[in-house]
Amino acid sequence: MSDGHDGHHDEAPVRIEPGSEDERILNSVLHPGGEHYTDRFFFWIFVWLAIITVVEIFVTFVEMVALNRFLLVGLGIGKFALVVMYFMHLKGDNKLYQMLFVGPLLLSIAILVSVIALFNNF
Amino acid sequence: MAHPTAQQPEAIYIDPQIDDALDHHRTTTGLSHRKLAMWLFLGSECMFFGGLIGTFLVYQNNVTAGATREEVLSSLGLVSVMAFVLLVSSFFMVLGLNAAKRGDQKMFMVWILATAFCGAFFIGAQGFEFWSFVTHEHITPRTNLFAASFMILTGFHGAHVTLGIVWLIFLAFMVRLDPHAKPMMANVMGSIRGVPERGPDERLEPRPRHRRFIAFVREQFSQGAPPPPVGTMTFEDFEYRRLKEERALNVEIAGLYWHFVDIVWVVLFAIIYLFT
Repeated sequence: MSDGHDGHHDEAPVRIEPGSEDERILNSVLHPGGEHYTDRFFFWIFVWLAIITVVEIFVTFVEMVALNRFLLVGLGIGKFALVVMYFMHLKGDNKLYQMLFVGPLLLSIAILVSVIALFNNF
Repeated sequence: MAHPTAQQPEAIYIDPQIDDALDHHRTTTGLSHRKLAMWLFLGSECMFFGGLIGTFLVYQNNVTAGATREEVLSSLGLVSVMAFVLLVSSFFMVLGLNAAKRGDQKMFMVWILATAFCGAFFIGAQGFEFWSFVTHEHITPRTNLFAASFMILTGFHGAHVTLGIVWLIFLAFMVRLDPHAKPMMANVMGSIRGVPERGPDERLEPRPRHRRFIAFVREQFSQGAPPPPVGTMTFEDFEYRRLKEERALNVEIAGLYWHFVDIVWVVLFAIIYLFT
């Protein structure tokens, strides 16, 4: 073991060129997380989520016939998107992560829409 | 000598040991496999909950005996609080992640335990809701198809929250953000975190023979080795930063799971309770 290790520290440093494969791997090891947001930014996202939740509950007490459901779906999508994009850091993260999550999500939504259309039970 | 500008990023000089270590981290996608696996798992969970929600939508009005959906799910008070508490827990989770990225062990523990506490409150409230359904409304999963699909859907979500709480408590008490700090139960943690416990001077593995040979030949033909450039990343520095990032990544992966549990409730809250 000693032959390789002892001489090892005398070797010249390795130069990593910008944009090279080695730099990409080095970055993936030292910066594996997604985009970084501040605590203050997360606080404002939370405030928006809380406001949307309050509006959702308010909407349920107002009689607007079919409009209620459209509003609730829209508000629900808004909440969902805020959590996924910012709390889960999917916005700005690698495209592969986005595809792995959004693909099955769309498929799942398509199945739900089909079920609703088929059984007309909603 | 031309000074590097913003358009010309500087080359990085690293210790040869780091170059070897990078070979161990090379993946076909260039991404962390653990994070990739978590996203893949969450994608499959979308399908799982999609199936359960679809079943609920089909059977929600299928009541041959017992209380109907409108009789059971008319009160919004408790579930609104539950939805809010789960949102608060997601906020605490991201604060915990930021603390983990900063290496702030104390605040990391505080936020993660606060997240787990919110989750425990949610589970307690859900247990109370189920208990009141059974005792006051006299519905169980066997009463009718509505009750069965409702309880299975919300019950599975509750089981996910419970698993998340256990995970968070484990993280809060077991993860040491500073790689130099002695971890609790070091022998167990090595296998669970996937991070082998190594001393700072300990090598990853013996260097491959062909690389040693190339380095030897290069050394013989070089006319006096130049001094290492200023700012060369040492192996110790690399390992410290790598381990620190890996531990923050563990928190991020747990956070992904927790936020997913939260957004599932966002959907369930709207579909089950608000549309009533």
